[in-house]
Amino acid sequence: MVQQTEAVTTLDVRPMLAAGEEPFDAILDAARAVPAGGVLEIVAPFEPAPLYAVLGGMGFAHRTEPLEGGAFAVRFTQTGITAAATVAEVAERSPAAAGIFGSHLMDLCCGGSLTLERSAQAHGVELAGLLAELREAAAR
Amino acid sequence: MSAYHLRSLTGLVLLAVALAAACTSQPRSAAARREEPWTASPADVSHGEAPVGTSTAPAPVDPRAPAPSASRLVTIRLETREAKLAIAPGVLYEAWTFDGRVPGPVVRVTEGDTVDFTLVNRAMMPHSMDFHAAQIAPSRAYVNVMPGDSIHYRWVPQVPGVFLYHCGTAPVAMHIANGMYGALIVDPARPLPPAREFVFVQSEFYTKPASDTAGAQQLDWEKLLGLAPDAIAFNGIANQYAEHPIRVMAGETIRLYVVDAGPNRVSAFHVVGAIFSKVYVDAVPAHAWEGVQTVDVPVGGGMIFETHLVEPGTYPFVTHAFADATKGAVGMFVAR
Repeated sequence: MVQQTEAVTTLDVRPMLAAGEEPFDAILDAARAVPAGGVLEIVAPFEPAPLYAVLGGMGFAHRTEPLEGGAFAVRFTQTGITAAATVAEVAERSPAAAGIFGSHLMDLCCGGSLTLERSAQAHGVELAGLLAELREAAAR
Repeated sequence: MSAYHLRSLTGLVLLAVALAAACTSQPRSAAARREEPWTASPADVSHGEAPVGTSTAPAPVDPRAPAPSASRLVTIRLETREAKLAIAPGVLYEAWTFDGRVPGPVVRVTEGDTVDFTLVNRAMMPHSMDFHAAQIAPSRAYVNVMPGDSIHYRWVPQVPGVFLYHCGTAPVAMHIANGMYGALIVDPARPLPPAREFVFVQSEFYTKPASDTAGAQQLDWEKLLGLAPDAIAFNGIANQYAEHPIRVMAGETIRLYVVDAGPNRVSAFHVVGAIFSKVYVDAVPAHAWEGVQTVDVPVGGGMIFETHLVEPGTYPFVTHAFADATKGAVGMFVAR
C-alpha cells in the first residue's frame, strides 16, 4: 500500500508480510524514487532494523516511532550523504556538517574535493560513525 | 591496531613457526588417545613467543563431527535469536543466530531419512531457513517466519554430501554476515569408511562499533558491500584452531567436511604438509578426485576432504587466499 503526499511517501508493508510476500524489493524501489530532502515512511509489524544500514548506505537518515499494537513507523529522510559524496558537497548541503567536520579535526583539504570515505581515512575517523552523525544532523 | 590484527599476527607467527617446526614426540596408543581432549596445547609451536591462550580468548568451538543419525526420522528444531558472541579474542559481535551459536549446530542425517523440521523465531525481525540439502519449493518452505511465529515441515535428503543451511530472508547478505548459517551433513546410505572427522564452516565478519552496546561490534553494511571483511573464521572465531590446535594421530585418515558460508569469500582450502587423498567434489561421494593440493570451496557450497598426516608434527590448514588466512582463516592440526 503506497500513499504519497508532497514530500512523504508512505509504504505500509504489513499487508505484504501478512500475504507471505517479501517486501524488501518494493522498499528499495520506493527508496530509489525519493528525491533529495524527500521522506519515505515505512510502516512494519516489527522494527525494520536491517533497513537502517541498507537505506543508510543510500544516504537516508531514519527516525523510528513505535505505534500502538507493536508496529513501527520509520521516517527515512534522503540526505544524499554517502561515503562517495565529497566533503564540499556535504558541507554545502548541510549547515551542521561544518561543525561535525570540525569536531573530528577534519579540514576542507583540497577544496573539499575528497570523498567522505577518503577524507575519513586520511584523518583516522571511523567512517560509519561519521556518516550516521552527518545524516542525523542533516535530517533534523 | 585492532584486536583481530593482533590475533592474526599470532596466527601468522604460529603458522610460520609450525612450518619450520619438526616435532619429535612419539605417537600414543589408540586407547590412550580416546581419553584425551581434542585440543592440543599450542605451547610446543609458539616457543612462548606468541601470546597464545590469553584470558580474553573465547572457548573454542568443538570441531568434531557429530555421530551419524541413529533413526530414520530425524527431528530438528532450531530457534532464531540475537546473541552477543566472541568472533575473535576480546571482540564481541551482535550476532543473529540459529540456537544462539555461530555457526548454528551441525546437523547430520543419512540419505533417505525423513527430516522433521521446526523453526521458531525468537528474534526481533523475520527470519527463514534455506536448506541447500533439500529439494523443495522455496515459496512453501523457505518463507519468512515472523517474530514469535514458527514453521514446520518435513523433507527427505536424497543427495549425500555436506551442505550449507542459512537464513534466506532479504537482504540475505546481511542475515548471513550476521551469523545465520551452518553445516548439514547427509551421509550416503552406504557409509564412507571410518575416519576421524571434523567440520569447518568458513565465514567473514564485517564490523563497526555497535550503536547500543559499548565495546561490542555490529555489522558494517558498507564494508560488506565493499567486500572488505575485518575477520575471517573457521567455525565462527578467527584463529581459534591456531590457538587451540586440533589433536590427531599421524597416519590415520582425517575427513574434513568444509562448508563456505561466505557471504562473499571463496575458500581455497589447503592443509600445509598434506595432499588430499580424496576430495568429494561438492561433497558427492560419486565425484571423487584423488591427489589434490588445494580446492576451492565455493560460497554456498561444501566439499569433503580426506587426507592423512604422514609423521608427527604441526600441520596448518588455511584458505590459501592468504589475505583471508591473515584475517583469521587459519588453524592447526597437531599429529602425534
